[in-house]
Amino acid sequence: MKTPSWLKYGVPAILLGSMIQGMMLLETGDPLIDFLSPIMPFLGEFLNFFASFIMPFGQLLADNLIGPTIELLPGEGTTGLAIYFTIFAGIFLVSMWANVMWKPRGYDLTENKEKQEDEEESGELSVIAPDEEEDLSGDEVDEVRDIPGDEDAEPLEPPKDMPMYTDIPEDEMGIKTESEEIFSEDDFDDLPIPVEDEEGEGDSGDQVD
Amino acid sequence: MGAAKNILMGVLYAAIALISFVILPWTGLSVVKNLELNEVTINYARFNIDRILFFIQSLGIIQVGIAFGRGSSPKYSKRRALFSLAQVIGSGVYVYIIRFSGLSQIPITLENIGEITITFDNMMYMAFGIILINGLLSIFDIIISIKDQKDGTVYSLDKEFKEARAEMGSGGMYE
Repeated sequence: MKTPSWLKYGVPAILLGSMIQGMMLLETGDPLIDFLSPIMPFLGEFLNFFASFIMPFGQLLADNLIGPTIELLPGEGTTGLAIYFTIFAGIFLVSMWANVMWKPRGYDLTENKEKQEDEEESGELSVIAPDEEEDLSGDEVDEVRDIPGDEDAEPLEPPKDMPMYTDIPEDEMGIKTESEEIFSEDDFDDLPIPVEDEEGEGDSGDQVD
Repeated sequence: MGAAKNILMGVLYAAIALISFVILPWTGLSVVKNLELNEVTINYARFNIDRILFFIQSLGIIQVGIAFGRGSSPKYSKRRALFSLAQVIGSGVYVYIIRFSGLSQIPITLENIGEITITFDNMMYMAFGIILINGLLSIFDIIISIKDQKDGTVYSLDKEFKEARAEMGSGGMYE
């Protein structure tokens, strides 16, 4: 049996937390601060490591690049907010022009385009030929039979031919008419031949006996 | 369709920048400016707070403009990467204003106890370090976007649209 993750990680974390909590001597009375304060040294160490790596970069940027630039900015006394509003309007107009007039549609990945084209091509090729379609329809019928609990069901009969309705007369199409199909010459061979009696009156075969 | 979507995204980005760079800091500092506490006197440069409020408004407005430009630029475009770099530089200047105006060191006088000074210099430098790394990443983004367009990893939808329109105009549609 697989150990649940809450048991695997949660319980040791709670035990470790309670141990650290027990080592804490100073209690402020505030439950949140008392809960967080034992973790603070670890967080502090992590932040210190991060800061020692990051701070020299920050010092370089602030003292050598941004500092001299800031002194060039006009203060409140000279022009007020007018120059800043002008810069804002300039940026706004340029971005509006770029996104409405110049290139509003942007870019897309060529990979996506190729994938889309492949899908379109495969969609065209997947048009099924009539012969294959019959085979596929047979497969579909078999799949329908595979319903669980339906094993005793009789196999489905293949669909009968439906009558065709066209403007071409049936004689021209070489198809037997309805009357020919029902009463063919062979059908009459099995019928009993009526026997004529002496009086010459024809009667049905049943009355001969 | 593309232009409308771009503008909508730009307005959204600009609104977020307006709240985070202008409204919240300005409101916060305005409240602190008029704050009166018993037995505690916060001696942070009250004479400088108006200057900070001015720079919050002025640089905040520019940040809103840049955020609009960045948000409205389409994906994989060079101008989006350029606006990102501009926004990072703007953030650096914006943060530096706080230090420049003397808010990074706040002396607090506690009556009958004495005076303490809270210094945020190290925190400031850390923020600048993060800004510098973000700036480098933005430059890297610009290089990548130029390279992608040259390699053909991305293709221009505008160019495709123009070609399709030219094809239709040359008689393809009317024949």
